[in-house]
Amino acid sequence: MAGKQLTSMPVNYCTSRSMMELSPGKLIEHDWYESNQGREFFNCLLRKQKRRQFGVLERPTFPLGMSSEIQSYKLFLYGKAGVGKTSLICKLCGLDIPQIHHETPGLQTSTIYWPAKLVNSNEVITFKFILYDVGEFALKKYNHFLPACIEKVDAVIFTFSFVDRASFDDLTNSVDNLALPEKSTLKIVVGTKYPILTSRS
Amino acid sequence: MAYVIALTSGGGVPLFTRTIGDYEALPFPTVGSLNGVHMFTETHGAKLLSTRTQNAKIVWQVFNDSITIIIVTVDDGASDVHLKTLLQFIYNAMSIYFLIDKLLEESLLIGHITGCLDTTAFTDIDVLQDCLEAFVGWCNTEFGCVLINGKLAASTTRWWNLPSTDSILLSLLISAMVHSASKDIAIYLPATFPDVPHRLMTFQILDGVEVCVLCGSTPSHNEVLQNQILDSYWRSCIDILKNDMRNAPKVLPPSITLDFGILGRKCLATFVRALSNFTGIDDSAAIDMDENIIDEDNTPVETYMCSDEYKLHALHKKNYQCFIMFSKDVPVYALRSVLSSTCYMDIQYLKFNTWVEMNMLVRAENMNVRAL
Repeated sequence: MAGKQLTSMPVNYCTSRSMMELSPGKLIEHDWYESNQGREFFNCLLRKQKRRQFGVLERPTFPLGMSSEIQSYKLFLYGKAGVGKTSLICKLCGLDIPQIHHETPGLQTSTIYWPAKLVNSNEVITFKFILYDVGEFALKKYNHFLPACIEKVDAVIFTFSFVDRASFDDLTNSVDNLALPEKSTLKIVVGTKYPILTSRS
Repeated sequence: MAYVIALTSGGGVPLFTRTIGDYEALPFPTVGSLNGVHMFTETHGAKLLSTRTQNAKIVWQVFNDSITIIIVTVDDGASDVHLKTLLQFIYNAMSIYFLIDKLLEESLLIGHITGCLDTTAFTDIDVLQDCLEAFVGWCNTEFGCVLINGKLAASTTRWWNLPSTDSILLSLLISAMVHSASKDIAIYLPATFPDVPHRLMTFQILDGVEVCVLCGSTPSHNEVLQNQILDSYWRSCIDILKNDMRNAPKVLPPSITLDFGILGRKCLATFVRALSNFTGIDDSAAIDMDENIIDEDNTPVETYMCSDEYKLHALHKKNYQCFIMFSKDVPVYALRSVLSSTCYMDIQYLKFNTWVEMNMLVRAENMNVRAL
């Protein structure tokens, strides 16, 4: 179950740093999590069928013979208040999605470990994604949050909501105007609340 | 379940409403009537404090002559004191709605009910305290604490000496937020810093163990996270913490045996903390159950309640509180003597086992046993 959640996100951005040298196409095996080896890896990340939460000073331990290099990436979620940035992170981290919306009062980071097998290689890499999430109000009111989020960031996830037209219209502006320290920073767009849209129609 | 409505006292303009439980929001005319009846009594020189319906209770309270907060909740037969305390907390948490919801929902944290900060026991407090003091020093602040599963396990003197409103709300705020590896939020402390925002930074070093500091503009969040700072300051107590987490929850110290009629108990006591040394409860605080159940100020210090399923007895003195839930089979006349011996054991334990002192200690402020 956790594996399915994980593969629902685009995974090619692991190449952001060396994107120029690579040809487009898939770089990891998308159905690897269903294989025996994949299951063993994911079992190390689960506790009672839910994703285990790791503290800052913890990391997943894999059994002997199942070594895996950990590659760390910093991702910043950017988008209008209420589009569902925090809920998206909860979903990815295997946490319960908050039932009632409330504005995130500042900056919070979440860590997610995600093993994947590269195409044409036996190597299993464990991606460590550190997701930065700031409430829109806090981001505008205090000026120390934005620098904290974009410093050494590997990718920015621009979020819009399928049930909020304005959040989609703002997207072009946000992508163009967010001043990132490096031009090569990968930009990803994620739409949220699609099930709400489909259930309405 | 509960409804909370806040309005401006002068004009009755709604500020916010919260609905806890699977209930429809209160219709606007009902909100208007609830506020109207309160304003009506005010204009006639009377004060409307509370009322009961068949199964609900409504309490009104005005804060700062400007904001009226109304709570509608299930009538549990208790006096209004608890709801008044709750309203005070809601007023202090007013700009943060999820914190208000947390106050109204069932929770493992009970600080806002007892008026004492929730704490937890930790085996090797000295190591934890040393790590905390060193880390807080690096952060250039005097406010820091370690929360284990939301309860305070160690803190600096300044954090410990925060007014209970502030420290209880801080603990609740941290546990009400979405589980995350680290946080950096701007907060106002209603009693200590009502006008100056401070940064509250928390770092989940292990799942369930959160290191919290209150600081100014430095250090930046990234400095702490990226430069192995957490690793260098906390590595030495990671194994002890892991071990403690595995053996938690420690409900009872092994030397204490409980009467078979006791279903649950909580003993809170106050110690005075001077720098890193503790002074225990002095002898004048020894339990004397022959005293009257009313103290010099005519405030009740003991109370009991009997329901169909269990009996409750509570004791609240200047330095300690003791709450015991008995099986319904324990006769009422035995409640006091069992409480007395259990509480005595707890206090003696706290007195002679220094490592646990800090953890079991809590300040009892503005607490009224009638609330129970």
